[in-house]
Amino acid sequence: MPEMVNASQEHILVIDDDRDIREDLKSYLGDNGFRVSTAENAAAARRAIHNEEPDLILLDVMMPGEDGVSLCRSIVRLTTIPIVFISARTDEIDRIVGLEVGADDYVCKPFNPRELLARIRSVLRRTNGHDRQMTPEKTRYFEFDRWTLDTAKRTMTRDDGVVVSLSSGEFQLLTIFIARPQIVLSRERIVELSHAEGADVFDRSVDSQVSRFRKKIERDPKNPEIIQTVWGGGYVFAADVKKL
Amino acid sequence: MLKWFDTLLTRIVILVAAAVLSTFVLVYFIVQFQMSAQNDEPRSAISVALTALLEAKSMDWPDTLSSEDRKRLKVAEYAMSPNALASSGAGPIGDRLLDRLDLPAPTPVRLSLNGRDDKVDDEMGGRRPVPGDLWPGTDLAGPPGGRGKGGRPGFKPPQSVTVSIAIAEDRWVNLRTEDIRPSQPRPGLLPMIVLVGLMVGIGIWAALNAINPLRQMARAADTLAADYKHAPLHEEGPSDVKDALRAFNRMGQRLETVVSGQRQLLAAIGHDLRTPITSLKLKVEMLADAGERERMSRALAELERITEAALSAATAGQSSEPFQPLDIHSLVDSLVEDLTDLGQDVRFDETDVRPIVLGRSDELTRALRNIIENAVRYGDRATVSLAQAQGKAVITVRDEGPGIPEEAQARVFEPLVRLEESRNRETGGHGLGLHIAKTLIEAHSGGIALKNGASSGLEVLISLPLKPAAR
Repeated sequence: MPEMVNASQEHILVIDDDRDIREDLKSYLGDNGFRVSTAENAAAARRAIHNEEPDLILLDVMMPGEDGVSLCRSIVRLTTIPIVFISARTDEIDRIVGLEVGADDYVCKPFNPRELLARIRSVLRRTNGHDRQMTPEKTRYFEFDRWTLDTAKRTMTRDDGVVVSLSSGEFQLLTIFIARPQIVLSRERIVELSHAEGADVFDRSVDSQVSRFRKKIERDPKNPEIIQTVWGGGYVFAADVKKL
Repeated sequence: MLKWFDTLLTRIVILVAAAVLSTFVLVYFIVQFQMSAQNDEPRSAISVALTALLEAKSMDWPDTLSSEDRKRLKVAEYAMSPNALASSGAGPIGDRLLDRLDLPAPTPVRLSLNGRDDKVDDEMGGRRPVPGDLWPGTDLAGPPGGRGKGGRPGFKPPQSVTVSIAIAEDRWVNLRTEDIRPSQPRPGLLPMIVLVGLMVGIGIWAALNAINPLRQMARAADTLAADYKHAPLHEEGPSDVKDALRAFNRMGQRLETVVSGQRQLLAAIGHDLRTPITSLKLKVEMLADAGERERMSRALAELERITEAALSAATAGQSSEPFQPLDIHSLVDSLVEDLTDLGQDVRFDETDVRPIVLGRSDELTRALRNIIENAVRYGDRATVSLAQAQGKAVITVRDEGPGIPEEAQARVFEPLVRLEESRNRETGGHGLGLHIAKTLIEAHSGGIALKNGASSGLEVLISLPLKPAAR
């Protein structure tokens, strides 16, 4: 059932050249409590942004004429409206480009509608100041200790050039730590943050996850230097983090 | 058959060597035969003269010789005269002539040697003849003479000799032989060896010239078979080899065009299907009837899965991203953890080896994921192990299913093949997973093989070449 229309409704602008997608998104997001307007190309999108000042933009990457990437660049230069990319291409390159030109998130066609909803809410929450921490997605590379993390590929490169893979859980753990270096995080806080990232919860305990991860990144997992245990407190990411 | 013997190069070299050798052996025997035919004939003018003089002496120095005798003895002129017709003194040759004729030592002897032209006379005056050179009894088969200033080395022109011997006061026997062709030197062994060596060398060079393009073609064919990418070959070598290279280039280009065309078509269909699937998903999500929504979602999920698999198959191994050194242990470990989190029954046999392989981590992860998911789907649970041997990292995925009959094993890598006779249709699967895995692994110069376990279950062995050790 459509929710009651009220003034606090958040406004989403859907920019896609496919009419079916525009109409379906409009009904679906409308059903879920958003106010939705649509645009079928870059020119219409610019007019809509100017006239309606939406709270979030859903932007299709592949459009005839001026494409989504170029449009995204100009929107980011002029406004602070968060942008979620939609693309029919799952290539890593697209995801990387999308995030590098300043999009806040990225979903691939055919996306799960409920997942899209979750992403939209998560982005809105972040940008509305509820949890406006440093958003790791905006920076692609982070350097710490002898490692370089590539957030787009979800891999780490050691200083000898060897690429080490990360599981989803490990990657999630690392993004939590890397955004909060030198800050003591309790186990409860880590679980809470992992929920806030919008992804699935840790299935295993934080302790076992950390000890697993240490085997991958520490020189000597028995004497950890990067992720240290704080007695009675939790964990602290002790290495210096540099954004690249 | 030994491997080195089996190459075209070895065969050509052996052929050339055999041909040259047999030619030489043949020529050698022909020369030998002709020489032995001449053997009963005197080898030099002096020996002809000696034979004739001995004959004349046995006839008690007649005034003339009959023409038959002269012919037999190869004598051109024979005469008695009061003075010597030969001009020069004979030196040690004269002494030996007298010795052989059993004439007393003080007997005057004169000798003149005539070549085709008269210069030989001068030559004779200018040097002392070497005994072995002219004296048949001492060294007939000796080294070639012809050390004369003007003569070609190893070749003596025909000669005649005039001998005058005073058998009494004012009574000279004068005898001039016919032109006698002196014996030719025999071919030595050394020039033969040098020549054979030279010919074999030329043979190797020529053969390599012809074979190298073929080797190049073999390498190119392997690359083409691995990823359908054709790097045109330089058309070189002998004309028939060049024809083969040209034909190969045409075939490679055609194959590349056809395969990439089909891939593009498949990829385009896959991309274009994504938008209507998205639209349907949104529509289904808005359906009021929960049961209907559930059923349609399932059908849509299947449609999506097939579309994505087709897209994967179309783009597998086509990435232009460079290879990087990958820690395979972490790749397997992370993937197993992710699959476990998704509720699949997968176990990783922990090991201490840390093989490093050059590759693209997303592609190898996808290949391994397809194989593990296949093992879980058909074999209930999967056990993954990692080993390192003989320059390779070997990943083994073992399941507990019924295995696959050996004769059907090759077919499972073909696209859209499902072995229904031994596997349950209800378990799903689109028949592209193993095909994609094989394509990706081969793009990494690796190999994939199937093996039925000792009692039950199927083993999939993936081998990937290790990164060469840095110096």
